[in-house]
Amino acid sequence: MSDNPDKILETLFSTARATPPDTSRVEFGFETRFAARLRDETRGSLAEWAWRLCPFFAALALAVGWWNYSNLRSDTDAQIVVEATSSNDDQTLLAYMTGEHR
Amino acid sequence: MPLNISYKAGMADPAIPDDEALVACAREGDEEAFTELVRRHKRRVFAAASRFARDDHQLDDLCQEVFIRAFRNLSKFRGEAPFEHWLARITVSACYDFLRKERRTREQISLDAHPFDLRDSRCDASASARGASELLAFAMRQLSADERLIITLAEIEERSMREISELTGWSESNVKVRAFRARQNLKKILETSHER
Repeated sequence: MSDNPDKILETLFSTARATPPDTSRVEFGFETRFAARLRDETRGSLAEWAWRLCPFFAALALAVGWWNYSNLRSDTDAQIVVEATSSNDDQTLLAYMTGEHR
Repeated sequence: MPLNISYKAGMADPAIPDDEALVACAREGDEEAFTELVRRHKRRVFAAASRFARDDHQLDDLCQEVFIRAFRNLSKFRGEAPFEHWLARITVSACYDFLRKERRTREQISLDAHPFDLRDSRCDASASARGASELLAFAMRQLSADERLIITLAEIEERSMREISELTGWSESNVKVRAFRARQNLKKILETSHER
């Protein structure tokens, strides 16, 4: 065989062209495997987004909790004042009239 | 909305949707439409990817990567060129990334560790197709990712410089220079192995 590297290369290339790799074994059932992977990827990306949004939802929950607590507290104070005042209407009026209360 | 057409590839039926129609359905989330595209085009993708993968497992992974990339980038497909051209560019890009990654991770194989005698294989190249394929595969593994890609596209798949330029995104003159250098390097590798 010739030692000319160009000729050797051409021989190797033409042989490679003439004998394409047999991929039929891997092609079998490829769509099924691919569809499964695609589903996994889609599910994976949803889970990924859920994790990314975790801090946001945690902050939101804390804000809503704090707002609810502060509202509840001010409502309770107002209710106590109203109850205390309404139960002592006469005494308060008397105190105003007699000048004991300013 | 799922496409209510039974998919039977290879039939010359006007009711069978073309690639563009399937792409439109797949964009709307119809996975069955995309699976049909996979079924139609997998042979070309496998043929191209098999030149780079070393075993069936790698080949399967590489082809899945190609179609995953295609699925993720469906919104970028404008339909100016046929779907298979667009897919061919994705295939080349995925193969190039695969070669670069593989080159980074794999250990350098020494000539002495090679399972067959290079000199004998070279002498038998014309007679033994298997020996020639193994010798070429071995020599190709010594090349860089871009050299290997360009040799495969230009010499084995016999694509024109213009086609390679379109597939890789490199300029035509760049492709010519790279192809020349790759061929020189390949010759050098074969000569070196012969001297040993």
